[in-house]
Amino acid sequence: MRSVNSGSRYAGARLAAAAAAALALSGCGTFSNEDLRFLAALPTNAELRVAVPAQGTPGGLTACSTRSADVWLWAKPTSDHLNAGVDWVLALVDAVRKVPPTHRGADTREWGPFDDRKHPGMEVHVTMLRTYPVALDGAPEHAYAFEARPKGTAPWTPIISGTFRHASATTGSGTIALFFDNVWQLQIADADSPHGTMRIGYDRTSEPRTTDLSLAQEGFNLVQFDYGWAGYADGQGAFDYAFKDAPGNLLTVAAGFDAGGRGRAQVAFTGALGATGSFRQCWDANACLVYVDDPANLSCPSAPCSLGIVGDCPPVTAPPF
Amino acid sequence: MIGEVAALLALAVAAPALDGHRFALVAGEPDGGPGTHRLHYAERDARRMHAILTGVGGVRAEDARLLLSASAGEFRRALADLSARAAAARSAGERTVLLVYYSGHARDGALRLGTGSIPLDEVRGALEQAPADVRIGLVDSCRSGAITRAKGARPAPAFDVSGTPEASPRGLVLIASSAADEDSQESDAIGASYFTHHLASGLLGGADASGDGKVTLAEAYAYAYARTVGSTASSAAGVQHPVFLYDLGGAGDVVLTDLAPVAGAIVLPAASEGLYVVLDRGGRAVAEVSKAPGAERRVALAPGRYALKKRLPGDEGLLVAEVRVEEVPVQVEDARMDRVPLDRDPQKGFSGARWSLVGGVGVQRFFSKAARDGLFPPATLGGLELGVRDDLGHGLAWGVDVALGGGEGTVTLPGVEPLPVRFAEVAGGASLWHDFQAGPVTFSAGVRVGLVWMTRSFPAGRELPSQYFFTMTPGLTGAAAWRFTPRLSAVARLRLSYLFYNVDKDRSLGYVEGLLGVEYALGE
Repeated sequence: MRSVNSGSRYAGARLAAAAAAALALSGCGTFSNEDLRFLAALPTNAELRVAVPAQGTPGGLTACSTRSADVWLWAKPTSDHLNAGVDWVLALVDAVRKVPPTHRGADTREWGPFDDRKHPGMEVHVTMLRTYPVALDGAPEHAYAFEARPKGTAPWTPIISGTFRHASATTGSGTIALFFDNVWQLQIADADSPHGTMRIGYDRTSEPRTTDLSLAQEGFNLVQFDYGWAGYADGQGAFDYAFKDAPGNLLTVAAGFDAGGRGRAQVAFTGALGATGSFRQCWDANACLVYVDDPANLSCPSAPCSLGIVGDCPPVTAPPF
Repeated sequence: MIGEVAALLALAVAAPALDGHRFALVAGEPDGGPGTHRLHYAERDARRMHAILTGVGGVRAEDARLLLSASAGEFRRALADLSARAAAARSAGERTVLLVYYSGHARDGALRLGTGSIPLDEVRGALEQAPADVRIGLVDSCRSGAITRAKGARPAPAFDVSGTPEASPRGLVLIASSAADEDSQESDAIGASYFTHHLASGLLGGADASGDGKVTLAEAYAYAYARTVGSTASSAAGVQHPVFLYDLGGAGDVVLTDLAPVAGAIVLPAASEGLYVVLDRGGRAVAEVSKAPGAERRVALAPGRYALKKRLPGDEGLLVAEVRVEEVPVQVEDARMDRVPLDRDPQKGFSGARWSLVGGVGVQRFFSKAARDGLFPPATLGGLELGVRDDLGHGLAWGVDVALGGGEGTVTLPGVEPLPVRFAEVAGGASLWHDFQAGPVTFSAGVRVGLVWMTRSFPAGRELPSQYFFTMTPGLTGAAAWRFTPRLSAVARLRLSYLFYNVDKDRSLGYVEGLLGVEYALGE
């Protein structure tokens, strides 16, 4: 003989439990248009990247019938070092894109503290403030600050501060200051990181779009200088940069170029032994010199350095000869 | 009906060898001719008694005649044929028992078989003259007590069985369902006439007061009398008293059914007490047992699935159990039965929860344009819903659903370039609703509590992180379903939901979901 074992058919208790659980979990998430607006104010490397059409290696073999434009060929490695510095900053900025804000105010956002994955033991805290200096329906201004500290209760140390005017970094202007002395103090600097404060300015509100990077001290394989880059939509641009050549001479360059890579430059020369001077030169799309005005013969190993006529220079807007 | 009879007939597989060679004429006639209304259950009563007699009553199939809506002539011929067969058996030295059962109209002292009739005196006379050692007449019809009137029949609760133990009983017993001035009543609730229902229940074991696995004529009558009087005591037609004429010599009692050879049975343990009803899968009463504590009670049943119910005192509800009877007895204790409200009475059409599955596709759209453009773009959804009807009582149904969907759109923010957005959603919920039947269409209306998990990503969006939102969405649900096959229905469903958005700022949002799908009825 067997017995009946009937289960209860009532589902009410189960439904009630499920409803209670649902209530406890309701209304959470990151679905925020305002978050998107704040993030839109943060620059990406697309806004800050320095791009020059220089091709080739300074001092390398050349097929030029004259000489290669080594001063111009230095623009590429210099821009690469600049971009590396910018990327170093943006790597920190991008961290806030990976985590949702921990606090949302009407015109504020806070992230963190969250762990700095690149530097175990460190944590980062980010704040952003939005204001409307003209009118509530006008262009906003954003100010943001990145602070870091060893995990725990140590005081926060600022490492980045920035401002931005406009709603979107793709069409606005802003500044970023990176406090490398604090970065070194927190022991999160890279080996080639500079000291002092690196300041970046960018303006994409009109043509040309510009990016300025001011290094208080050498770093990122760059000499201390106020670098400046301007780019037009048609590919023209200007690039102010400085570098030391192989003998150790410091060359400070104000260059202009077109989309095809042709350009001209005004160069200030400070020799490793103290000599100073300047020269001008122009180059073609293959980075071959077409005009050199160097009466002091600073730009080539053997005199005479000057060659060509100024009429062979490309019609770029800067620098004025 | 056919299934029910087939189930009872299956008892015949193990027909017991009861005392004597038994013959049975069983007739059911719903039509009583002019001036009578058609009976609903006369034929069913006859089928049921035929199945019991040939199953556990010792009547071989070839010795039984089942007449449904037969003429008076056919009745007479069948009775004459069985009498002749009984005579032949008796001549061969066998003890014989002839049993005649009739369910139908009786009027003006005659059984009414359609337009024909047979006087009760003729029936009685035929039984008196029948060449069988024991003749038993069972008449379930109005004023049928007239058949017992001549020799001092009496409405009494039990026979006074006496006789010589050594001698086998011989003689005539007539049992009528009501007195000569009473109507016999049918019941829609039990799907039978009261008397036949209780007599059949008794024969299947309900009347086995001695607990020996055998139901005697006296036990069956006593049980049917008590239960019929009890069941009709509060009926509008008045109380109905079965009557009998008992003229048996010898040992004075006849075993009508032997339950022991039948393997399948429901067993009510000794402690059980109350009125138990066994229902078949159609919700029709198969047996009814009024159980007193102290002795185990066994109800013989053919293999199959049954529902056993017991009404609790007052309006406290019912105890219900699903029982599968196979080749071993199944003991059912009250403690193992489900307590359910009265409106889940399986005898009143409640056959358990009905499950269905709906699959369909639809759209979701927020009412607020700002919400559509900025947060929740229109989405296409595909979903499944499991619905359960007849489970909660009060005519309510419940269901759970899940849906997947998504869409694409553009987020427009002040001063920021338009952001293409890809939107995905997983939603689920539980609904409670009521169905309203309107011809071939079933409308439903109810409430729903949903959970929704939404995520959006920005495929061209400046390395913007994907975002999600999870919340509960209470709302209303309604549907129209048109059944085009017994299992399939076309369904159009509409949901109105409320969503409380609280990330940027608190906003009360509403959205509508429309779904077209197909509903498939699960189960048997």
